[in-house]
Amino acid sequence: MSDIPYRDVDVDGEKPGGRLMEESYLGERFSIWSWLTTTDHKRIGILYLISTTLFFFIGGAAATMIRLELFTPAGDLLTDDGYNKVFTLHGVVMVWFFLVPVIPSVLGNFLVPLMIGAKDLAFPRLNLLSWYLNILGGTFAVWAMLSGGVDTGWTFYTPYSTAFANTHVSLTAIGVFISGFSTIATGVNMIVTVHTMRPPGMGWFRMPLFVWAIYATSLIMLLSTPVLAMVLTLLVTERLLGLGIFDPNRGGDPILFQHLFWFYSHPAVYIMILPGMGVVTEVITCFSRRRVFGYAAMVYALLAIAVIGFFVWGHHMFTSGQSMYASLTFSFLSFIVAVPSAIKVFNWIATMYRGQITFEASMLYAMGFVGLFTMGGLTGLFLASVPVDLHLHDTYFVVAHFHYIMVGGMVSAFFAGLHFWWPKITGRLYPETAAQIAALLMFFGFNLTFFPQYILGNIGMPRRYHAYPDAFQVWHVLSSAGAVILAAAYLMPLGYLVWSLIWGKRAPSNPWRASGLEWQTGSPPPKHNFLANPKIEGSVYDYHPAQQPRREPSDD
Amino acid sequence: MTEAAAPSTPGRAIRSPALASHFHDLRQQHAAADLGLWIFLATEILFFGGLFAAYLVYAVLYPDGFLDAAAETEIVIGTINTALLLTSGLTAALAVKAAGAGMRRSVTMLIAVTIGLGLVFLGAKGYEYWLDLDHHLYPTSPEFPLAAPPAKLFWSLYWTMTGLHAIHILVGLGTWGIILFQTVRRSFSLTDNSRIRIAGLYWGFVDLMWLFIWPLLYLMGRAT
Amino acid sequence: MSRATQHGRDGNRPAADRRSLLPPLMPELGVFLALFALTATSVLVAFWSALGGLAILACLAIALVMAALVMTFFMHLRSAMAVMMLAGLAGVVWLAILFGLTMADYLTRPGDLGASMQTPVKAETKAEAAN
Repeated sequence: MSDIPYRDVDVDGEKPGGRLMEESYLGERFSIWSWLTTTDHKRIGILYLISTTLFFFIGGAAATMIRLELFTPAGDLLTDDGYNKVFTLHGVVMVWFFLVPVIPSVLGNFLVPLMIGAKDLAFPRLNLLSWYLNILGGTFAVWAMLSGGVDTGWTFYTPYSTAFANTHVSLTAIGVFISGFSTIATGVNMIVTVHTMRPPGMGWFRMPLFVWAIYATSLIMLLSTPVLAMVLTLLVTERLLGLGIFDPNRGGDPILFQHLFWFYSHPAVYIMILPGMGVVTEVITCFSRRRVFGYAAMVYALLAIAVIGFFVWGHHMFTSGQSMYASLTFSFLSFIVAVPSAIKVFNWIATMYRGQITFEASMLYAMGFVGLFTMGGLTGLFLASVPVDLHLHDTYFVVAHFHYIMVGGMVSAFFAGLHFWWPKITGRLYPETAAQIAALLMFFGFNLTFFPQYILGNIGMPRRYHAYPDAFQVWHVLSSAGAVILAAAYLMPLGYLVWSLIWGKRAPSNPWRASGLEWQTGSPPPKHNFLANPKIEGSVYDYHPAQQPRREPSDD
Repeated sequence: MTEAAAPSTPGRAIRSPALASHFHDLRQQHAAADLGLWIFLATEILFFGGLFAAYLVYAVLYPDGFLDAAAETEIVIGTINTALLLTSGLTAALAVKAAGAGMRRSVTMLIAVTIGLGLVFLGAKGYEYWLDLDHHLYPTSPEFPLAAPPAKLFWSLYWTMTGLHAIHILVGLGTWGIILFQTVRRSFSLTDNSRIRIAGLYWGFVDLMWLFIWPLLYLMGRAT
Repeated sequence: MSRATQHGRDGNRPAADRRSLLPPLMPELGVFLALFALTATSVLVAFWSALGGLAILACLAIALVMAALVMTFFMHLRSAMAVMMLAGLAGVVWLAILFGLTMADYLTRPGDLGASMQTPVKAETKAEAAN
């Protein structure tokens, strides 16, 4: 495209001292307008950080109401309908406007070009467009929720969503549809960048595993999101135009909706977890001062998860009326996807083994991720087994399982990454002790919130109910108490990270003495990422080159 | 493209105005643009794929209902439209070729013909829709002429498939329209910019989808 | 690419080449004629009653050939990088996954094809009658 968004900010302007602030991407032309029209991948990453944080707290507010309602057995805080709307709001906002975009669009946007030594993503304007589409979609969805809400749950199952629900299903679906374009735009950008913008020397198997994770995530985004877009289109045309594809009165099959929906939504689970795995790999290698164990195995495991993730969607449908032969096939395939996931867990542990581990906040978050993800993954195997699933389907066991993956896994990983790269993104250091306390609090609060839900599910508490027998109350009270701690643990980073923006110490360019190209440039990086072409030598995780002592003194 | 890829460019002494600052050279930029569009087309395949999956499931479950329902579509208009799209595919492909050779007059003419054919396609489609509505061939019509319930599934799919395809044609025509305007204004370099190749690829894809929609909706159920 | 200005000049092509009205027509024109022939064949096959309901399968096979021609020549896949073919191929392979596993359900449901889909109208009326 001919009209170039920016150019000619160049090495010529370099001054020996104080160049960081002048040339950093943050310092240049500070006005709201310059931020809203920016095509700099770093600034767009920050725009995404702000918007996903906002959506996180909207979804979190809904979660708070759910936990408050469930404190007592009677449905006293919310009406039946109100409760349905609140958990739908929670699901829709958290899944599509927080979990799916958060790591690829915030950290991925910021870091992928830096990590591979490129000046920007391949399509900077498309990148900005993706943010606006995300905001537009989110506005639609939140608007629908506020102007009356949706009561279908985030899954929009037919025929309820098409024939019966008289809430704002179409509006929400359109919002999600629009955000799908945003996801696709990000995915295209990441894949094309990785394929075409690596400088000489940055071979495929020299890329940081975070970049590999974003690459694998983008593959899933691109191949699954269109099917969600189609199924939502069919849903909306059925509601608005009467073009009923899933209408049982015409011989239509509501289960077909579930097939198409889960063709997206199961891989979407991997959209939400793979980037987290990438972040954790970077953090664990850095704070163990160890080369990552089994780099190639990590790469193949990521790709295997991305591909096999498409073969397992039917395990959401064991009780739906799907053929039992299909159920058994899907069950078997679901067990297979556990293999690459386990490879990753073992490799993280092997990386830490005999490492010189230090417990910085991001390392605590990352270690929390490994434990919680393992827990969530193993309970996933329970659910992949047909007979066990018949017992546990649609109970709190399922809720606990996916929260261990999504919140325990992905959110921990996001915080690990946010803390790890915060000095790089903002040029400031946050108070380490406060961050360590928050990380521990989050681990503790999370387990207190969600572990009781495994037990609740096993003793028969169904999900999506707001009133329940007294026998379940003790577990619900524990869970709600944990949620209070968890809420505090989420608010703490908001406090000290914002504090650090103003009062935090200035960060050196490599505060953690980490390897990786992004640490070779200033903190915050200059507008075009590198003042000189970055040096690409050795492997990515050269934490203990053979001839040197493992921990050399920092020369910053 | 061979021209842009020539290694004779000495560093950045002569930067093409078409080259964005974050790319090293035009070849890299062209590769990125082409790959980006091919990936987008893969997502488009899966987008329509959801619809084709629905068609497949119901055609297998209700073969008779689908054969009967499909016999009601306007095969003449459908086939004429196939011919129109194939012809426009030819002119679009030639436009891309001409752009690569820097032949501005030829590009202008070929794009104009492509747009013309696309408009005729939409006109024919509109007439066909009018006939369908006249025959009450929409699922919510109280006088829907076919008895078997799955016929309504077929006609839901008919409207969704042709409607989404028509939207893609509209997007393509809009893109061609902008490019035609820019070509006449000479506001971009034919050889250095990727946009004609990108539009050509997209148009080829729109062609491609119709090649499958046409047999599924129009040729089905004719052999009786 | 020794171009100082962008406007008015499109590379160093020979003047005659730039003025000619059309680029070389081959192979696109040949492919186009083949596509037309295939279109006609497809229509004939569709009306050929010996095939009955299966005619659609033959038509789809022809459509596959036509699609391959369009991709190779009209969309220039012939000269594209391998990774672009891979992108297109990924779309097709994932489509096969979607079709395959979805049909794995429908084709193995108990009873005749479509039996699981009957709306339980009669069962309901029976139940009501029993009440």
